[in-house]
Amino acid sequence: MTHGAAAATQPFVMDTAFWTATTIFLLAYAVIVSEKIHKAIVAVFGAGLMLVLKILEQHEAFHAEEFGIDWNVIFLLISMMVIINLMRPTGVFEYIAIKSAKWGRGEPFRILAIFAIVTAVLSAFLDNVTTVLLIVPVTILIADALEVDALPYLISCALASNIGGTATLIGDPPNIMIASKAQLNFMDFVYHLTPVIILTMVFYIFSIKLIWGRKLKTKDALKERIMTMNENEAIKDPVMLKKSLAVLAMVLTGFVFHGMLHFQPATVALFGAGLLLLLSKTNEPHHILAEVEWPTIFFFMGLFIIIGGVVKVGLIKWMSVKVLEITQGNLFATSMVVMWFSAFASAFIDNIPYVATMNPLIVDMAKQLWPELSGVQLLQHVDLMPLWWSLALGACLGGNGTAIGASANVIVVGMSEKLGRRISFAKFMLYGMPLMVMTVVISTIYVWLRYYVLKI
Amino acid sequence: MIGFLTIGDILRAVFPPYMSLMNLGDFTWDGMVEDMAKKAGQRKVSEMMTRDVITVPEEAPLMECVDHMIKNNVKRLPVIGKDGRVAGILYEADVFFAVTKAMLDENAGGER
Repeated sequence: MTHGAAAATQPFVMDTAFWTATTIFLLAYAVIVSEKIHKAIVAVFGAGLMLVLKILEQHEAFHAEEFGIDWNVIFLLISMMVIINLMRPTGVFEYIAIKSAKWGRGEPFRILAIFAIVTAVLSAFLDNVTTVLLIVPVTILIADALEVDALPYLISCALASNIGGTATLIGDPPNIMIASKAQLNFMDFVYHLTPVIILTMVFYIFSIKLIWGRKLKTKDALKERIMTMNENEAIKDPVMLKKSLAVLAMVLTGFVFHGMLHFQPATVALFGAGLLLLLSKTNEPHHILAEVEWPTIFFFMGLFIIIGGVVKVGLIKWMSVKVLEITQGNLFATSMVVMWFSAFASAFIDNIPYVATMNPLIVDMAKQLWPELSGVQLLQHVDLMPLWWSLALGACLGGNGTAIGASANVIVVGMSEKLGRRISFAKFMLYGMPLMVMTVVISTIYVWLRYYVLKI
Repeated sequence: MIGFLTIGDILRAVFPPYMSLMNLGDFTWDGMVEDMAKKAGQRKVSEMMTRDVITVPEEAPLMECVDHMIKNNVKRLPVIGKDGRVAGILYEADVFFAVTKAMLDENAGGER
């Protein structure tokens, strides 16, 4: 083990610790991919091994910024989940969904397009899984009312949620992780990712018009079924709704200004969650807190420790050297490799462990390119920034490639099956893969044009 | 016995599961029940029935039956005979009669 506070990673030797950590890492990822054991259990057990075998000291796992759990990510996720759990019973999400369907005037394609936009916007601010859980039931209700095939609505819900989630810092876990690692703020994401996502959504709507536009037809009598629904009946608790909207507005304002105010995003979200819990006047916080997606949270915590282990023994650094060798230090080539490799990797494996691995790899790469720099100057070096954006775009959009590429897809397919509308792996890929490639092509052109040609 | 079909099972088959995932009970249309019933009518009994039926053995005490009914929210319990076949069905009402009878006997006893 290393001594002295200055020792970041150990001097690179392929010793027992190196091979132990690498084995734990590879085995854990293999079992996660195989889905034989729940990923949260694999991550927590793997983390336990890293600690018991003394690859990482407990203090490093819990408190070291470089090797340990990223509490910024953990508390941001938990706090947002608590806020949403408190908002759900008010009926606001049912209201939004029914209102959108009526806004589509009962026209099946118009509704499909509006649902895609609403899903994308909601996903930009809520996590994708929550969004699809809120949208899918209404989607099937509307398809049943219009007597049209629910499949386009279901697949589009998953795809739009992954596209929309890419737009902001809080939209998708990879962005939360990247932001925390590179110390980027909410407005950085709005400035760099939101424009390309808006453009992508425009292309996406045109594409689904081509794919499903003609097939979706209904009778005027059935459209009336939608138009006679009264969305106001959805609101079950107007008082709590007002409180939640006020807190949500405050949290979003907090995100916009957190960089300027020197608050971490987790601070903003935690304050919002605490305030809304207080305002809800509940004396039974038990079920609100129990509804937090604890398996996801523990998955993150375990994963951070496993990654911490392989960072410490130098595996990630070794990988970054190899990547730079392949791209010969050309950063445009590197960012293209990062984007496309991320896209295809994320189409088949969970983008969370993927980004958890890529984050320190990019940092190590930067350390080799600019050994004299450190801190924000290193992490946000002007030549490094396109790499972070390429990683975010590739990892988030890549999830659309297959039914297992993103948790939103898994949830949509799972719910559909339970609700009697099975979507096969091949069926999902038939639509998901071409649309994924299209969105990544748009991102490629964007990154190339903005950061390497126009340099803005 | 392979399963049990109750009125509740049939209502559940007609009520789309997505309705209860969110609060969508307010958003229905005229004729929705009939539409869903037509679809459900084409399904087999085996798709709708409750498969994990809670049963009691013939010699089970009545209190155990009450326990099953309350805990699992069921209104009837198939009673399994010594040969392993269904010997009869104990309904909530049967238990209710037994309970009221005991209550009345008790009260009558008090007045005497």
